[in-house]
Amino acid sequence: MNCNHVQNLLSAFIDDELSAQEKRELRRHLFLCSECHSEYQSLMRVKECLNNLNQICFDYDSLAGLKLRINETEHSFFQETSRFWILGRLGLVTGCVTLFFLSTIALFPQNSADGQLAQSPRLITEFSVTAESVEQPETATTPVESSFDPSNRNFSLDEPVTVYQASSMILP
Amino acid sequence: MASTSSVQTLSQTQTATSRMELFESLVKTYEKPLYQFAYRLSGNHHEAQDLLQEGLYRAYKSFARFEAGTAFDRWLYQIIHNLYIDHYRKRRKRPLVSSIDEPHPHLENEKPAEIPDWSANPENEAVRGELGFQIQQGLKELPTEYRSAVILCDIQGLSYEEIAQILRVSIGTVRSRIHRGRKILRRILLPYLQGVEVDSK
Repeated sequence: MNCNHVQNLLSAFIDDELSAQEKRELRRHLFLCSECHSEYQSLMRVKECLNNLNQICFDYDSLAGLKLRINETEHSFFQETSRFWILGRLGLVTGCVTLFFLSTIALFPQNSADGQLAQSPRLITEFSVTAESVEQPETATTPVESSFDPSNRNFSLDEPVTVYQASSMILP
Repeated sequence: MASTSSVQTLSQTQTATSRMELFESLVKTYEKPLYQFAYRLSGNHHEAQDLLQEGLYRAYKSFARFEAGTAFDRWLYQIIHNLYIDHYRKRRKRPLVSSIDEPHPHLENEKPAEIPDWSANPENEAVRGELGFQIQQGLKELPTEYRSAVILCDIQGLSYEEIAQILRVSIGTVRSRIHRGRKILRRILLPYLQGVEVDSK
């Protein structure tokens, strides 16, 4: 055993946590090496100091505090009303979903495709320009109003029309 | 050592009332060493009381799962240690705010034992009180891992195996933490260690 190894084992030796073989070797080394012996003594002093510490004054009733805390927790507002909290949240979510569906039905009526707003000549003209320019970019410059019949109810409706209708509900 | 199959939790063996009675009797048995550990770890009485209170509350909440026959004090040492680590981490994130008018909390609460002991020499008691104060200051300067290991070993008197179970580390780690902790303490306490008697083995 060299000094470095011995000094690493000194605390375990002090605490009697070494094997019999290690203890024997360490004792032999300490007998021969004064440096390791003084190291051992100084560590022993630290242990002695910690062992001999004054007992701290204990005047705290931990059980009374614990019982008070348990009572507080069991009768707290949240504990008593937790069931109502859950019901309240459920009601709130249901209300929100219902409101969402009602507002959707009110804003977007099912027969809006045939509605009077859709037949507004101004809006349909705007739509026809957009539709034609998207489908045939090379002929977008030619006027398309002449080929459009506003009275044709079989006119295919796609998304731009819906957007115009929705916006036209907001406009006067 | 009990095998896994034979280990029974208290919820299986006892009713709630008898469980509470058992809990109270265990707390009465171990509250002093537990408080001592909390105090040495935190360094002041307020924090020690909070730690003990919170530790006991958590133990009470999960006492139904406590395995009959296992060491109650070790279990609570573990809870208090973990609470302190959590608290220490939270406190480290917050900036330290202190008043310049009020005395420092650890100085305000630091009192020597007030139980009169006429058998001992008062001068020695005063020296021990001063040394105790210096040791507490030294412990505060240790890293938390070293401090827990040193307190559990040298003040609470537990074996390395028990400390390893409490801190959930290997025995080798416990050994090195104790050794390093003692070396740091020795450096801090060097002026006060001259008069301490040592029993040579």
